[in-house]
Amino acid sequence: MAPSISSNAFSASYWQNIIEECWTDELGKDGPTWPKYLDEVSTQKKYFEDGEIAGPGLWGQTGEGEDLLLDDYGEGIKTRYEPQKFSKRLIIPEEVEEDGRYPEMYDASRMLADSCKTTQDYEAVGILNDAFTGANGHVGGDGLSYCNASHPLRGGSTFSNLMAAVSPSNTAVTTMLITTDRLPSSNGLLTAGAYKLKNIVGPTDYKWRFMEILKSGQKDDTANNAVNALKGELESYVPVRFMASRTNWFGKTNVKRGALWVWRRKPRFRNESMPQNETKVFMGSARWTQGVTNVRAFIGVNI
Amino acid sequence: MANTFRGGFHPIDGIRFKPQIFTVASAYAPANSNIGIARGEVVVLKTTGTIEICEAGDADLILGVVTSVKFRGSDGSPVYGGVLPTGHTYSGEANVANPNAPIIEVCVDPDMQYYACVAAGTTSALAYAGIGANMDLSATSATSTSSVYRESLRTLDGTFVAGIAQFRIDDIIRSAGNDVTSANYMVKCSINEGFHSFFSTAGI
Repeated sequence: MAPSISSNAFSASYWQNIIEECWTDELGKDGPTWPKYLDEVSTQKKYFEDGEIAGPGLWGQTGEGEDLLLDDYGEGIKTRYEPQKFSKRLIIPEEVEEDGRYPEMYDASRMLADSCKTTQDYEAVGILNDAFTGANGHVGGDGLSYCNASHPLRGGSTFSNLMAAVSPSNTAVTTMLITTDRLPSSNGLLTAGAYKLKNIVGPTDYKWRFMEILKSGQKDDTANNAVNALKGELESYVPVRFMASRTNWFGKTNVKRGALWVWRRKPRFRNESMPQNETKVFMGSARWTQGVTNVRAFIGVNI
Repeated sequence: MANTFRGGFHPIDGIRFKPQIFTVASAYAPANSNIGIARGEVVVLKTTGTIEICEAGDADLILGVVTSVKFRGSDGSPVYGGVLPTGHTYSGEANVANPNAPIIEVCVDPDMQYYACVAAGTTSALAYAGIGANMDLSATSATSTSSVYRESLRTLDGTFVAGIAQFRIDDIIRSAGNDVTSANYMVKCSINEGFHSFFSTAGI
């Protein structure tokens, strides 16, 4: 089995005390970004489905002695989740550790852990990158892209969680709040417990613009010192540096079963020595998937 | 105010008779614009003993409304609560004793009333004057089936007639979200074909 690295791959500097600091990729201390815009759940199953129940309609007026009106309800969208296995291993000859002057040269455990976190973010961001196209299998249980103008409702109507292409502004966020408040339920009716917008998710490029929109005391786009009604309305702006688009942005709502990150098994790391070739093998694997059950989780703006 | 569209026919007044099971001919391809037979569809009984989707102004008497669908998928496993695909084929005879044949439950109750949508809005005066008038089903080719919710999206065609038509308009549903001036307002209706299929003096 070929090792991941050999002593000969490092230049002479690494074997002498010439190098002052052996630096590597730096990850933030607060872990991956995806927990800020996906809901984390776990499963013990190889695969499972989330199923929608579309309830009955409005009550109708009935006369005295008249039979109470009968209605029905039914199943709706089914969304399947099947976790996939992800893995990586490194094989390091013992000579690298014996001769190396810097622990970073053979700190495979840290390398695997960091690359696992990075992989999670590259995987998770596919939900945002493909939200408008449905590419790479990122479609909802209704077979449409997550952000779409024609999601089906029970009975034949449709609803949209797609906003017109507008750059971030006070007016745009207001429109998004109204759109969220008027999202229909599965049977097409507005409900008393209206959906609420929690935060905005988008590229890092918008971080400071949304700070102006969401945190200013006065409206940022007028010269008249009008009160900024949006101040404090939303929790925060979530910058996602992994987004492919530098212009698309999303509102994330409070739906119970929305955009999910599903663990079947959290990352597991092992290592072992191979005496026959005097190497050390470092291994990591995990099982996960991601998807969107209730597409009302996002209101998308495709610019 | 736009009405919330709710296609298909939904029993409203209790099921007095147990739903009866029927089947369709192998490779039956209904003329509706989408998928096939699903809950809420209006069907007729043919002389072969199988059922088919009722056309607008169909010469055959209405049998009833589909309440459930069960059939065998391509791998032989049963599919419950779905839409019977158009052109679905199976081996063996076209009767419910054949385990390969689809099972279509139909509410067979000539007194049953149904919720249904009316395709076109009208004035309030005309809508309430239409109580007691008749109305045909919308054209089969103009309606479809929801593949996501697995229900028919059939409606009434919106034209009140004093003469013969397939359904009698019994009442306008009086609820807050029902606007008769907009398309897809909901009515209470019943099959209006004189005698039900099973009560006609002539056999089928």
